[in-house]
Amino acid sequence: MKLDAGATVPHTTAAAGAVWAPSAQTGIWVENLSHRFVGGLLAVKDAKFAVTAGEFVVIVGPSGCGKTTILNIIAGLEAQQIGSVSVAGKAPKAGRFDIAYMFAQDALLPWRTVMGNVLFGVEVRSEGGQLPKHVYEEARELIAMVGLSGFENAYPRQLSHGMRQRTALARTFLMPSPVLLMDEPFGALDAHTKLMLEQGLLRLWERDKRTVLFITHDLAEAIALADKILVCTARPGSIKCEIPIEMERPRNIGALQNDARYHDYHRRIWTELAAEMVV
Amino acid sequence: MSAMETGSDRASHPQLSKSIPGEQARARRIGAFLNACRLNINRFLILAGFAAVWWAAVEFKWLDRFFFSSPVDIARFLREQFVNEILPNSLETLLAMLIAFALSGVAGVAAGLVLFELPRVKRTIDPILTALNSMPRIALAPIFILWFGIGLASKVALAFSLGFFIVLISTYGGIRNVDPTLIRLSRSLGCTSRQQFTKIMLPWAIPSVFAGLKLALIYCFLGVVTSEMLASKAGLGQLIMYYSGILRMDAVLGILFVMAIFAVLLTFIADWIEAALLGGWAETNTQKGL
Ligand SMILES: Nc1ncnc2c1ncn2[C@@H]1O[C@H](COP(=O)(O)OP(=O)(O)OP(=O)(O)O)[C@@H](O)[C@H]1O
Ligand SMILES: [Mg+2]
Repeated sequence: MKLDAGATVPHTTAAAGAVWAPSAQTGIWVENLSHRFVGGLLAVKDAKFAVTAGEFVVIVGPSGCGKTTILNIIAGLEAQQIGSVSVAGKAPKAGRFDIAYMFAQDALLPWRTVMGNVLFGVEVRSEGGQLPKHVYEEARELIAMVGLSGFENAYPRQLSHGMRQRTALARTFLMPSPVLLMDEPFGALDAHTKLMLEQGLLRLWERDKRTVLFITHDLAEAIALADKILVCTARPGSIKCEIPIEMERPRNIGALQNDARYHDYHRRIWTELAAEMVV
Repeated sequence: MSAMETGSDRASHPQLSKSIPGEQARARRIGAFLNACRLNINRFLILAGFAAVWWAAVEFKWLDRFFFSSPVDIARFLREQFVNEILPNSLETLLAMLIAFALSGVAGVAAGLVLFELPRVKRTIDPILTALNSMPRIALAPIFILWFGIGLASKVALAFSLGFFIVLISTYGGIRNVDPTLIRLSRSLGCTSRQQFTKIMLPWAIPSVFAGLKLALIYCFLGVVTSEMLASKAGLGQLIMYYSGILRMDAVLGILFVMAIFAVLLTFIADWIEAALLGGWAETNTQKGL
């Protein structure tokens, strides 16, 4: 089942002189993106891909191939050097309210409780105003969704690694940004919790139809979540191939193992990746 | 180090301890209380044992009473001179110390923040700061006495010269080593520079500022007593100099004992304030089990 928003393939629009076509909505466009770090390391080379509005795109690739770097550039945290990047038709810029970025690190504030941390994103973005009541309720719901009910008043140092990551997840979801960038958000979780959160993420995504760009090393996770999987080459990273995942939604992640297509996808992506991992 | 081991169950958050049946929680509280009692009894026994051995050694003439005095003589001195000498001079010393500590705290934190906000100024005066800080400040005491006389001001000046740099360095250092991931978070969320400062940098620096303040407290005490020993009209340091001049070992040791009690009390109060203010979020010494 193709999504409504996903169907709106970006047209060439009024962005005068642009060779490529930025989406007028909330899509992400990356073209000929290369990135060289101070010191000369070329981390990304000629990456090219698009995420249409409301699409769930997953990036997989060998460790150190430049996936996080690409996300950082899109989020405006890393200066863009060569190529073009556009998010919702605009150039990347750090701190755009229409982008919510979840790092691989939990980045929790040690002096705030779980509740305080979950609220932190919306709080700074509300520009000092009092948060409306429904935000607190929503925060509580999200905390319950990530399985942290009862820990609202715990401090980060009282939580396990996985619990901290789940707190960061709730903080990211609470921000109403239409574009979500997620860097290995479930990296520190056990298989069971992971399954639960993947299902929760899909539910939220099906409700809000946000645009998601998601990095993972877990192929099962990638197939379960994605509309489209981008496979990266080894460093310098570029997109080696795009694999659309044509499985109906809503998906029951637990039942995917019984689906022959799931195993086909797995084999195919694995073959692509394995070719990159040979030294 | 402090007698606050009982406070370690503040780590168990109300929300978390809810899952523990009340029965068990009470048992744990009682256990913690008994532990604290035993700890303090042990401390007392160590001191009492030491005093007893000392007393016996002097009574049986293994130690010379003239050089080593005796716990009994010390106690007698403290009792007899408490109102006349110990109390007024202690107040004098503590007053100077508190003034110096308050000034060091306010000026040190302010200077630390200003230096952080103005990196160019910081870079310019860095060598000067290092020079001032590594100078043996005690050597400045005669100068301060010359400038400010032998009253309160010169003691405060010496103590301040010690405390200020400690607080300055710990504030600046604390704010400087903020977790870069949190700065990344603040940029990605779009925090204003004001938000970044008040919501991330400042809270981050608090534990380190506290560590600096606790150290400054002790150093201010040291500064005041040193200044009093060199030249002063009043204070415990001056009292010690007077009695050691007339070879009254019981008095000298008695005053040292009073000073030790002050040091312990100050540290205890500082630990307590720290634990109360930082709540459950930062690991205080008590929680680390130090
Ligand atoms: N700030 C930096 N300065 C210099 N080099 C960097 C910097 N950040 C990353 N790199 C280098 O760029 C390359 C890509 O890093 P990146 O973090 O994007 O990898 P990744 O694909 O996210 O890897 P992983 O899957 O392990 O998270 C790595 O070789 C890394 O050493
Ligand atoms: Mg990465």
